[in-house]
Amino acid sequence: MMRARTLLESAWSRQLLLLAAALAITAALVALAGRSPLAAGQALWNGAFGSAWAFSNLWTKTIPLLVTGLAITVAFRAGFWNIGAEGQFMAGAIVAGSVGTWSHWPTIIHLPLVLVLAALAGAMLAWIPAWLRVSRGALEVISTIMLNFVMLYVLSWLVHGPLQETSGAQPIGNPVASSVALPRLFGGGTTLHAGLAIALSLVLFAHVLLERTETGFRIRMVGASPRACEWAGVPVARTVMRAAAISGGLAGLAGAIEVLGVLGRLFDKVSPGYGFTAIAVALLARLRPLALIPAALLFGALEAGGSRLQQDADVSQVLVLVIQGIVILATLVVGLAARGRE
Amino acid sequence: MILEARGLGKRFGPVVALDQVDLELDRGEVLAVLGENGAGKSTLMNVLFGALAPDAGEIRWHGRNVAWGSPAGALAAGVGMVHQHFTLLPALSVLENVWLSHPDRPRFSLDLPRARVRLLELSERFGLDLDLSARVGDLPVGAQQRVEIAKALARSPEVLILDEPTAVLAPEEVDRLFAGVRALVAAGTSVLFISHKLDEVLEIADRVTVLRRGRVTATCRRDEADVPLLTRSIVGDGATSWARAGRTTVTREPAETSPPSPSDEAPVRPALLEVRDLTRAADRFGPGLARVSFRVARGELVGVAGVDGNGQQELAAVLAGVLHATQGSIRLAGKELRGQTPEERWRLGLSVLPGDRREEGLVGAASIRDNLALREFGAPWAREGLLVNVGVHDARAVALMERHDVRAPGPEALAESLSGGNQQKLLLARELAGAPKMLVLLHPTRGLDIGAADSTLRTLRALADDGCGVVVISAELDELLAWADRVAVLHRGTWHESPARSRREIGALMVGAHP
Amino acid sequence: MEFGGLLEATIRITVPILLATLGEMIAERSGVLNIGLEGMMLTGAFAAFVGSWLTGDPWIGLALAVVTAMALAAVFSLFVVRWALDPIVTGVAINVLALGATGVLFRALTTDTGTVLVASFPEWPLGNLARIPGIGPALFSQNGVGYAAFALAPLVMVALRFTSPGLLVRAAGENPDAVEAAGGRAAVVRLLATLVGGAFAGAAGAYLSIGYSDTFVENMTAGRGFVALAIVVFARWSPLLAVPAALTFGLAMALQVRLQGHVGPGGGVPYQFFQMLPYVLTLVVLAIVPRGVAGAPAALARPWRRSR
Repeated sequence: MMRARTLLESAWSRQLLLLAAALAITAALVALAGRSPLAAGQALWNGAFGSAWAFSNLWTKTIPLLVTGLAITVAFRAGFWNIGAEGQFMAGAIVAGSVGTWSHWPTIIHLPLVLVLAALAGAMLAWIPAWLRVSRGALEVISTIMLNFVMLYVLSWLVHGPLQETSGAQPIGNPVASSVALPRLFGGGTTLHAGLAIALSLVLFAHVLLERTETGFRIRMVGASPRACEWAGVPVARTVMRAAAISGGLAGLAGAIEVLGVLGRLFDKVSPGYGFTAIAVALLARLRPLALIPAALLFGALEAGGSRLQQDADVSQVLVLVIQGIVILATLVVGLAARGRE
Repeated sequence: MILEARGLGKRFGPVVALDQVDLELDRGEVLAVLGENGAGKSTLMNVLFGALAPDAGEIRWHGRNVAWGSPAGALAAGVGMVHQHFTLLPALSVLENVWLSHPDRPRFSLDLPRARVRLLELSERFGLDLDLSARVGDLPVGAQQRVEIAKALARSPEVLILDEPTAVLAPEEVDRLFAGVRALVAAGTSVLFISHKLDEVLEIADRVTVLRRGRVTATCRRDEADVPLLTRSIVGDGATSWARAGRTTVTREPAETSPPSPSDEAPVRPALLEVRDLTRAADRFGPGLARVSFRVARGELVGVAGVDGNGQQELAAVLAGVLHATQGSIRLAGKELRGQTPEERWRLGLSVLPGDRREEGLVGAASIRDNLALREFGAPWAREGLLVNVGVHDARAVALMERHDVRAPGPEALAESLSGGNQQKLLLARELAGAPKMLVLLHPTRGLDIGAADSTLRTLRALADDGCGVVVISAELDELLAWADRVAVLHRGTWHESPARSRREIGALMVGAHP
Repeated sequence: MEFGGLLEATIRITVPILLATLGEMIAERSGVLNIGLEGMMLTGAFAAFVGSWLTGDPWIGLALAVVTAMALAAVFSLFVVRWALDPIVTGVAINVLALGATGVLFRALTTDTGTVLVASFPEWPLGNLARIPGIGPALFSQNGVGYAAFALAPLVMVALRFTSPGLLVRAAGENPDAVEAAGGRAAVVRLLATLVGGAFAGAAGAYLSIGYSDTFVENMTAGRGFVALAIVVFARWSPLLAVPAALTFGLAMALQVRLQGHVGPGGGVPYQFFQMLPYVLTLVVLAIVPRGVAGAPAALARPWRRSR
């Protein structure tokens, strides 16, 4: 299995090159589908930068990508291939969409409570595949993906049943209480909310965690060589489980922030696939927390722009997935080129 | 001449691996290529076998210039090679392993009946004694090597290259190998025998070519061999230590005469490490351990000899706490170790260095600084409140590199970029920084050149003389005999200890023959 | 509920999973962990749909599915075998790419037409056997791909155990250096095994779109490729054991559909619980299979590069 390092070796200048390649291939696919790549590009641009609202939407989409990107980063640095951020995101969203609806709580207690419980829910969900790997040798790739499907149906059941809004009209949850709703940053005109501050502090948290704490050091070392760590008394299993839990906790927080800041209540589809997009984001940032900010902004722009694709260019929004896939592959190729220069 | 090399040269970057190497191999003879690790033997063999292309010079096959291009080319022409590291399929049968390499294997069907007939023929003709239906992973090392040789012989090569074939064999198995080589040569095959052991070479070779630093420093017939001259050709004039070239006498006094530590009052010195009845079932890690019991006192250096795969890895891993024993006890300075993690054992003063420096000892992709901090990154002295001050680790790394003579551009250099000797120093630096009471090392000199091996053993001896308990588990019997206070043997997971000190007697224990 | 109907549903759900499992087994026995299986199945399903739509011939659809999935497998091999890059990250990328590309192309194709039904594989009833009450229609009235899936299990076993290419595949999965030492090319063996695995995945996808149903739906594999990855472990890399293992999953999924229909929303157990059943079952299987099971190829998922 590859060590996390191969992902760390590439140079920044090449990251830009690979982006250009990804866009070129995507344009070719659009042409193959009989649509205009130019129109698609314009739709993407307008969706992200065309208006003040679009631009704030870009930032709004960046927030969940940034936080799930951190989740992927921490897990991948430990060599734990967490493909389950999507499910962990849903777990956090469920907590926010349930505990967050309790009324008459003061913000000072209610908001931290919701965030902590959401992080715990995500952490517990990530802990299961970590445990399966550590004690059973089960590939976490498979088990995290299985849990994504499980969470998808759990969420569907909840919004159709126990957590459905009191009126029972739609398969959605009750609105979250005003005590926990994250305030909009520029009044009601845009969607950008205070979750941005939380996300940026989490970036700082992850950076300090990885570089300046024993747990973070161990996560990096275990990702680089589990065998050497085992002999040197670094608790490999515990470190992997801890990294998984931190990763799941971050993804859970992302889900909660999305419900509290954007959606305002639980929906059947709380995530358009942030947990998967985050993999491309984290790889593009070469698994470095600070570099996640530009990488997440870029994919935030794609997400925001994607919302205009169908309408403006008659191209399915899943085109964004193609860009993601190519970015991941291109990142690997760039890492390979770096390896060749050694 | 069947195979000739004229003026071969090969460079790897700035390193000259081969320089103007000439070599001749006649039909039906054994030519030994002798030299220390790093002398260029492996490069030469890889060039002759087509795995590497030479930068200069030519290879002649039956008098004609050839360029193999790849091992496939050499194989097709009639050059076979038995690598030091076997390329076997442990989960498959002997038949499947050999048939895979057999030129008569059909392209699509497997034709098992024909395979059986052909391989029995082969086994009989060369006295290989193959058990065709056995799983290769279940066989002892000597039998695995015969499978490897059978693979090479299946192509009826005119020249067979044996790369350090005795490195993993016990003395008895070496005798058997040599008998096989003689049978081969009698049948007209030529053998290129690569070794760093002079005594073995003088036993089996018709002619000897010595390599040193990529150059041929001597070539002679066996009956004209001048041992002191050959030795000088191998190690150069300045060499003072030659521990491996046939030293068979004990240079250390027995432990009883070393000066007792001042705190010792009891007539029997208290054991620092006491292992009793350590047992572990055989599994994919090896043959397990069978009631292993031994004691190590302060200031004692105990050698544990044995052929690889006889429980060495498991003993080290169980002591380190990486694997678990099913029964038995380990006591360190009187304290029973039961269920402690590797980290806790290290804190109690037991330091175990694994056998594979690159994969198990060091984090290759991490810096020297991070490797040195591996056990103690979050130690109280490195902390500032909740966080760790990385600068402290930088300063410490610089100091430790200085003290242990780790040569590298700086503490940011990656561990994998270091030479084997420097990696060993780095590993020792990390472990000794914790001032262990008891040090256990697995194969500490493996892959090191003679200078680095010597310096490692010297360091360990000095540690023992300072009162540390040291256990060296190694396949290099000569080194152990030269440096240890006493030498025990691990064979099939069983510990044998006898007052015997001669190479022959201990060699007998290594293959399970009780003298 | 009638037994025959359940059996029929079980078989139909099992066929694509079994095909994908067998293909993955071939790749894994050569040492390649093909995490991109899901994407190759999905691509196969889409290509089969397109092929059948354009020509009206489901067999051309099948051929197109096999070729397209193999092309994707070739890309995967380029990364994982040729360049020795990580199979997990590569596989994730392949899956995302397949999901996005099939989605974009499918919507572009069907914007103006609405739902398109295409020609699917004809059923080939086996004479009187097909008229046996209960089991007849389920077992002996399948389409060609369905019969082939079950026939391939012993064939794959024989090919791996008793043929020269099979020996090379197993050797590459145990120790690629041994293949090289025998004069073979380990990378080529792994590439070919992955391509064959891709072909199986393509056929599995074709069965989903033009065998099991007669149209394509976005993300219609819905994780079946990952389920197949788990079944390979469950069946201990044995093609013969793959049949009962895949049938177990097929039965669970068929039961889910049945029970969902019978209980319905509002009555007793929520239908979502049945929907998550196969995924929970996979997790249970991963939890009960002990670590280090016999049968795992020694060099599985270890990137290998020829030394120097």
